[in-house]
Amino acid sequence: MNEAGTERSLEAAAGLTIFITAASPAVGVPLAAALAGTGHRVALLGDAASGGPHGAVHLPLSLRSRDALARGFAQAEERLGRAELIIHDAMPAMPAATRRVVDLSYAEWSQLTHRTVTAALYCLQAAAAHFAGRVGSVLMLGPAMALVGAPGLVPLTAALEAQRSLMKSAARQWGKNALRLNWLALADTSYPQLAAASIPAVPELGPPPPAFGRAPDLKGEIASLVAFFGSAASSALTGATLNADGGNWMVP
Amino acid sequence: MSGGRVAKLHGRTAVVTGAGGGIGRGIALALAAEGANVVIAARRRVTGEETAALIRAERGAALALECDVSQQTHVDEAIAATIAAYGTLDIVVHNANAGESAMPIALESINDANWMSQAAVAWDAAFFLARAAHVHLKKSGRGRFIMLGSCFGLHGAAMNPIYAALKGGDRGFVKALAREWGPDAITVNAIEPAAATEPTEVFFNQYPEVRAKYLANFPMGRLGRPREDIGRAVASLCFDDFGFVTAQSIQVDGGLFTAL
Repeated sequence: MNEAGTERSLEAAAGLTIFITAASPAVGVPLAAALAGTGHRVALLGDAASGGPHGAVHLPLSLRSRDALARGFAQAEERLGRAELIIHDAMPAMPAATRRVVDLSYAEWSQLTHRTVTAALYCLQAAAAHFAGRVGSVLMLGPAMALVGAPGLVPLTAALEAQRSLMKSAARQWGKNALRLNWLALADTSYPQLAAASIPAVPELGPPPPAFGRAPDLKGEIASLVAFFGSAASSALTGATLNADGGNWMVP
Repeated sequence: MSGGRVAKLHGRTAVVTGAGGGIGRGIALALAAEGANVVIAARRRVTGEETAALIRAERGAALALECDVSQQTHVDEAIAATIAAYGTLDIVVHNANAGESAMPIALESINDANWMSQAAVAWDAAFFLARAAHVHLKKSGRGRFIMLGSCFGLHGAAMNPIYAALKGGDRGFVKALAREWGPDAITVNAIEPAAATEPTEVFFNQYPEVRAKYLANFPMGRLGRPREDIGRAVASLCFDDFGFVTAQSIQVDGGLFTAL
């Protein structure tokens, strides 16, 4: 780890400064509210339509522009101070209806794949510039579904898995700069866009999964886990995928 | 018959992208050796014709097409030409990669153009191929859609993040498409190879000290051969013996990557 003074900023799980990019109404926004409600300083950066919950700073900007992201991070720092944890909500906005590959237009394909991955790429670039060699943590969030794939969700599955690989490449490249990157897989039920999808079931002949019998609570259990990634307690983790789906897909 | 034994892909037709050299050529030769009619989709006609000539020299059936797989019209035309020539399409092997995929690039310097130059060949082509081939693969009754992936997709690559992301995405693509196409009796898999190719040799000749260090990671002590090791593995996935294997990303790398 770096100098003790820098590291101290990560020691307390409470009172973190957290930036959240691409916050979706179903996951990123309620997480922001939960984190802000438990004493963290939270800024949301992204689509104006996402809105900002009470207690969090909302900075509308285009994730399609690296410059806009850099300006947004600078504004968030002016308001709240330097971030200790940056969260990217990797799930793109998309219609709830699933679509077979043969029925997709190129525009639909491109929107879900290229635009989703390059938005994540630009957020990672902005995060690396923001931390600039100081201790920092980036956490990407996505549905556990991407680990197994589902019919009608080919471009989404590809885009999510590509972002997870991008996270690993960044972890390998920027680890020497004290920047850690990890992936948190959440229960698919956290994502209303997936409600109509035929997501495969675990090949379990015993009691139906998940092991908890329920999905973890987003505003409580998941918010606490998210904050853990901003704390010194997680300092040994980078490039990791943590599956927080309540004990459904127990991989690897 | 091939070498005194039954050719297991006799009567089937395969399209192989990026088959003008390297692993793609090895796959095309291996499929043809098993009796498949092979359509070589290559960006440069001259290299595609070279592969076709090698197949014909072994009494195989081959058709070389100039095809930029990043262009939807090229892909649609290649599939149409395949049906016109052979009447069926049973196997699609998407092997093509952009030339830039082997070039190191720092993550912080990637822009839209960098991304698209590789993604158009790796991903858009996969989408175009899937969309154009589905009806024919379904009609085949034993269709095969095979992607050439990379273990980088699973473990990331510090200096090759675009390539790694695309190959990671391929793993997701394969899983989801396999679930979508399973009811049509089409299997969808990826082969993740480690093979000696012309660019590999150029690199090792330039940095001979890296060769021994890299090869020490291989339990088998060597890189794969495009035809014998990688091509035959792809051909085997097309046999009826492997008709129940789908949604998998299979390492064909001499044991290089064992983290799964």
